[in-house]
Amino acid sequence: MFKLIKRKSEKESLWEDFEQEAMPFSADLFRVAMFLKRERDAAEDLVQETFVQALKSFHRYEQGTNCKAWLTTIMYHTHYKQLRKQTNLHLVADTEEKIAGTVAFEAPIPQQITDEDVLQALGKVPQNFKEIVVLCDVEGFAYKEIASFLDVPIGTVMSRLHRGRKILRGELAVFARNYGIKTEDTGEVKYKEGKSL
Amino acid sequence: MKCQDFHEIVDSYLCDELLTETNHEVLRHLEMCAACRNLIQDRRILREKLKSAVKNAELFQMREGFHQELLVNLRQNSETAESPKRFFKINKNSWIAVAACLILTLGLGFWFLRYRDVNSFPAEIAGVDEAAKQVSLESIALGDHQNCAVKFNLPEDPIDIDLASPQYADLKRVVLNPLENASDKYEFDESHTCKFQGNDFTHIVFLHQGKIVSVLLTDFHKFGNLKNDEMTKTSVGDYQIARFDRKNQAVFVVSDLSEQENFATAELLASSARQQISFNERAETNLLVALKIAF
Repeated sequence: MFKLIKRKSEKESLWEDFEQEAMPFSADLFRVAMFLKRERDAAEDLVQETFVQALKSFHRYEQGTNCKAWLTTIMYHTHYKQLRKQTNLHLVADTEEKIAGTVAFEAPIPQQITDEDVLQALGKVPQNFKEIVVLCDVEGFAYKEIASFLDVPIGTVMSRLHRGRKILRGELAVFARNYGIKTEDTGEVKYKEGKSL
Repeated sequence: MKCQDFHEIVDSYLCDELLTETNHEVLRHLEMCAACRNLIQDRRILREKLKSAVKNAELFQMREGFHQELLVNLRQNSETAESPKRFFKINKNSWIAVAACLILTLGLGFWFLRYRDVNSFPAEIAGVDEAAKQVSLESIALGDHQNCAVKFNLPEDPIDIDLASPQYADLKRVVLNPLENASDKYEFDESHTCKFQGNDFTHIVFLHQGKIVSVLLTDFHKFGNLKNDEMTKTSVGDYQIARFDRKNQAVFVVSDLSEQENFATAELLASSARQQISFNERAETNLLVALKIAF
């Protein structure tokens, strides 16, 4: 009887630790899952599967380390496994080189740009670059952590982040021009009717 | 620092990924250069806008109740699942049981090593209907390759090798090293543990010449073993199956490569495994001598 109570209390304590350490990151994981899956139901499934896997191996988590990064690593493992199951395809072609030369100018970021504009511009950034921009700029992961999620060298993370941000600024420049803000490609200031700087 | 230098590291500066010394150089440059100050200000604004836009967007918010559902499901999961943690927790009163287990294990180890040395396994374990059982184990390995590596058609989901157990990670290294060091290119794809027709496999998948190659390790006790250093090859349709044994495990290389290439892959692994085993055997002989002295 004593052993039964003790065993239960160990399970209870494992669950309490998990609830306290891991569960607060559910919203962050859901955001990353949405970028990976692009569909709410699939993202919820991925988050659920990630937490199930995390709970199974929670004894291997070292308390005090970055739990969000640990969970995100599990999420990426799970996502790749699902992808592989669904498609049996191996991604070999990288679009980086094709995209590298397409954005040529720097645009100032206008204050008038709205959240919708930013999201719309982000939507136009290719997935390879977008996920690194989001992991770094939105979720605040370090280069090393991102490299580990994606299983790529840190140099690749840096170059994709650079290009991703550049593409994003390029897309936002379109909005900047709509707001009548000067961009370096034309060197002119155009004012949209009814707008002032 | 010049503006051009700053432009090259501005992304890392923004992410706080620079060394302290470089950071100081950047700060000194920013004090002097208004253009770069404006640039970094713009980038910071964009970063903040992006962060708030994504975090506030309705699209990226969890639906109401999802967190609660998640908690309930996980809670149920935690109650039904065995906690691996408790296997590693030993309370003070268990030391006697641990000591008894240790003595028993040493005794069994001694018995095993002694009998293994004179090659006296009981005949009923090693010899009965070996040919038929061997064919059967090979067909199971082929089935696992087809249903796991090629079609993903297993009833139970494979478990990632790193999550399964640290000892499997060791095994992965034994297979990975020889293939990664080979002159022909083997591209590592994934590794996991999986189950097919009741047999547990440690499964490592490579790509070689654009084809999927499975290295499958499984316990052969139920099926019988090969002779020392023996290697077999079998063709089933387009598939080639090569096998050698490593201690108490059968190692299969299964693929639709040519017979010669598939066998060459198995030979590469077998020679590496033999080297490891001879090293381990030397260690075991030393252990045997130590045990004989102790008893």
